[in-house]
Amino acid sequence: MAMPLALHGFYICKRIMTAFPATVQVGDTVIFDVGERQAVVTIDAKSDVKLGKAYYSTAPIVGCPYGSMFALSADGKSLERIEHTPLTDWDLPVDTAPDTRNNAELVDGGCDAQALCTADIEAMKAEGTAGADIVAALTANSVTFAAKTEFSQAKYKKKKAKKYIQIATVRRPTALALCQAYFTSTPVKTNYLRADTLALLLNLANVAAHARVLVVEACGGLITAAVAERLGGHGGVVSAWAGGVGTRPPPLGLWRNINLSIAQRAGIRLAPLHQLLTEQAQQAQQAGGHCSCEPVPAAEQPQAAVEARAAEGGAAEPMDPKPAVGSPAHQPQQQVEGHAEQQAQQAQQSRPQQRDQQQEGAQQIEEEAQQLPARTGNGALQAGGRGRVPGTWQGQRVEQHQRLQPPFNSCILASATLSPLALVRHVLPLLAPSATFAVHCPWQHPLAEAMDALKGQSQVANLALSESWYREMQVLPMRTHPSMNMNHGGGFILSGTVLAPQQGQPPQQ
Amino acid sequence: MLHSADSAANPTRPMAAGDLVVVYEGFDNMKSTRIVAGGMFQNRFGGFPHNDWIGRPFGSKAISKKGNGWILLLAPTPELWTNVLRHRTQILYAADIAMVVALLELRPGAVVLETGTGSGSLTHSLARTIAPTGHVYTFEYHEQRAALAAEEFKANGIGHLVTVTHRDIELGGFPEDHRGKADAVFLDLPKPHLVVPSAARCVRPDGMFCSFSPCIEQVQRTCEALNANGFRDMRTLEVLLRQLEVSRQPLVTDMEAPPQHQQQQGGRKKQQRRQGGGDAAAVGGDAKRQKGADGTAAAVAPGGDVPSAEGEAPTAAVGDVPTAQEEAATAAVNGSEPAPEQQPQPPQQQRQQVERQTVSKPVPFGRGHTGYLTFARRVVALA
Repeated sequence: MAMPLALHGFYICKRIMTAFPATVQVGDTVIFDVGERQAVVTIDAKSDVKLGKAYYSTAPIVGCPYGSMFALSADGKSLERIEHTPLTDWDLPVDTAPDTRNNAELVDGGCDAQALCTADIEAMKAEGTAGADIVAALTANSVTFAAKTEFSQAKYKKKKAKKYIQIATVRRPTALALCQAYFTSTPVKTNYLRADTLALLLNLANVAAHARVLVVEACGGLITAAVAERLGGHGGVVSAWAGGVGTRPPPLGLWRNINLSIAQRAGIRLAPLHQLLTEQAQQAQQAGGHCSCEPVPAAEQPQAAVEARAAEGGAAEPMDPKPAVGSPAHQPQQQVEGHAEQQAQQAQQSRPQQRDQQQEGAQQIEEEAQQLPARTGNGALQAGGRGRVPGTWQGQRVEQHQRLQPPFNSCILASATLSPLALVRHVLPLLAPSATFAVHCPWQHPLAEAMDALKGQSQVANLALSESWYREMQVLPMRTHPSMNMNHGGGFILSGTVLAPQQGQPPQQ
Repeated sequence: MLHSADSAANPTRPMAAGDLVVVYEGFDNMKSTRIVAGGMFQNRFGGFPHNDWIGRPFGSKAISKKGNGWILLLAPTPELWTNVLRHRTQILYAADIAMVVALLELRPGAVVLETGTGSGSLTHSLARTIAPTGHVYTFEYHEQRAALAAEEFKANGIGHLVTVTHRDIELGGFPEDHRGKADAVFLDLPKPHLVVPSAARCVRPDGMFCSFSPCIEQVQRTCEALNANGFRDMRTLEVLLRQLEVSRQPLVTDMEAPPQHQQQQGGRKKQQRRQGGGDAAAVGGDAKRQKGADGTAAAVAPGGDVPSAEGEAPTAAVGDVPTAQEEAATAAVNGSEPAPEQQPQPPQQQRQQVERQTVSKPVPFGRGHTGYLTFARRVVALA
């Protein structure tokens, strides 16, 4: 469905307000799903995607709805939208006549079973033979095909189709979709965070609009992204890291890949924990050193606005295409000096980008975060280059900044190298009474020790240690069963609720 | 129950009359109650006046009037609500709820259709996720349950986000005015395959569908219907939360010393025979001492060591395994001679080396299956 130019501007504005922008716009990140592989791609004038063995321009994708399917055009030079066709799995006749075929006499002859050789297949591809026709040719030239059972034949055709018919779907990059994409192809980037675990962390920590969320993670920023998505621009999330003054943050750039709106991005702040603890201590002092039930004093806010504005210059968002998830190792481009400053000066959006100029997200966020302490110590992220809303942002910033300070009423901790017990104790002063927290750890024992140490101490209650278990099913007529492979790496979650300091006791230090 | 602009501005606001609060007595022991000026909450420890709660922050501990027990007052969340709600039907639990909400791609502003409403366990989580600008349309074919659910949603502060309709969706499908407007549809029905065509009309292109079914036959029929009615990317999965319990266990590290229980038994029997039962008191006393240690741990909870999981073993309140030396000393106090096997020895040699370790293991019995979750995406047509 092509987008008339006149409506283009209307839809840009609408995107800021709708929960699900319908069409792909320039500057969006998409998940380009070719079945076994999902590439995370930011669309701009020069971006391209891989289908089969070659790269093609993403221009035909702009203006198409999320969920569109693409195949190669007849001339094989560009992407073309195609219609979805239902699966044929349920078309097989079931139990109409007894199927006497089985594989009792099927001998695996290796290459001998297929009459066509690699050269023949390559020749067909070079001629531009459609994938479906290649599959048909392979089927016709397989000596063992006729003797296979119906189910076996269907499985064979499916397997060949996967290899020779190149179809892609352009998907919305939700946090969960990204989680699954990274989990299947480059899980090390998200520290093996599995989708069901992420879903549980969000619910157990009670993340939702208007929450004030603290995240300490080492999952590339994915948890921060997921939280920002659930906040929907209401409330705030601070993505923090441990270590004293001068500690560099871990890579946290994945929030860039989920097409956050301006309002949503304004609700994300990156800051070191020691700074948050300082803020909390200042608040406690101003409140007279006891548990305060008052909001952050107004005196804080003008200073915060100045800090935030200065921070914006260093935190403007670059528009590089992200490295394709699952693509072969690419050459990291040398860091362009002053990259962030250049963008802050330019109000424009898309810049021409070379496909090879692929920055590691980690390098960018580290550069920005390092600039921030030098200037402001406050990592509040601004709208950046993507359609800044002039005139009103400062009002937004001042009001929202309070949401980006302690105390937090929701907390997710998922930093595998940090002791869960030490981390929980470290962040407890930042959490409001009755705050809900969820701690993830790939290993069981550190959480068991944390639970043992915390229970009965009157600082937290409702402690629960659980393992998240997950299994996929294959559902087909006469062939339904759990998948043969199963992932056991969901990790463990310790969840609980923070208690108010006991009357007569000083606030948790 | 949900976060709001007010709670965001003031996350430490105190409890007030009219607030819903979750009274936490133990991990599997929670109730909800509404704070009323002059009200009283009763449990086995006595009465807890609500007036003591008003003005204190959520997360506070309240002591009973008699002073012999306490409760915790927690701010309600959809997770806590799932633990305290009145079960009018079988409900969905945390693992399934989390997966449904996440894979339906819900977020603030989304519109979601749900049927059946049941006890409203999932509905609270749906409301939380789509707030403040989205909406949940939930349908229940049992008239009384529909009415109760609507009352509860209103009382819990989510009435403006949830519309309850008494309607049998399996018979009549979803109302036509939802055509093309839902971002997601969730079905928890005996025959979801009957509703797939109606769901296909209601879900917008690229929107999400989910069906929760305990039985695999339902799943199979649903997947076939989804494929035939304009859905794609069918995925059926199961999720469970396996609970783990944490305790401290003394583990023997000295492989040479005889096990304690064998020494004690031998000693006891020999003493009994020698004194003709006169030591029954000593034996009983020791047994009571052991039981007392266990009993102490139990009586303290939920007052003291709050049990953190079902079936939790006693904590450090339990004393060390009594050694043969102590056994002999007790016997000696009661005027009997130590058994020949229990010659007085230096305590260090006799006390068996144990290491008290923090250990964890799965809770033996727990949920094995709730249902299969089948997800699918609405196809985007070419024109």
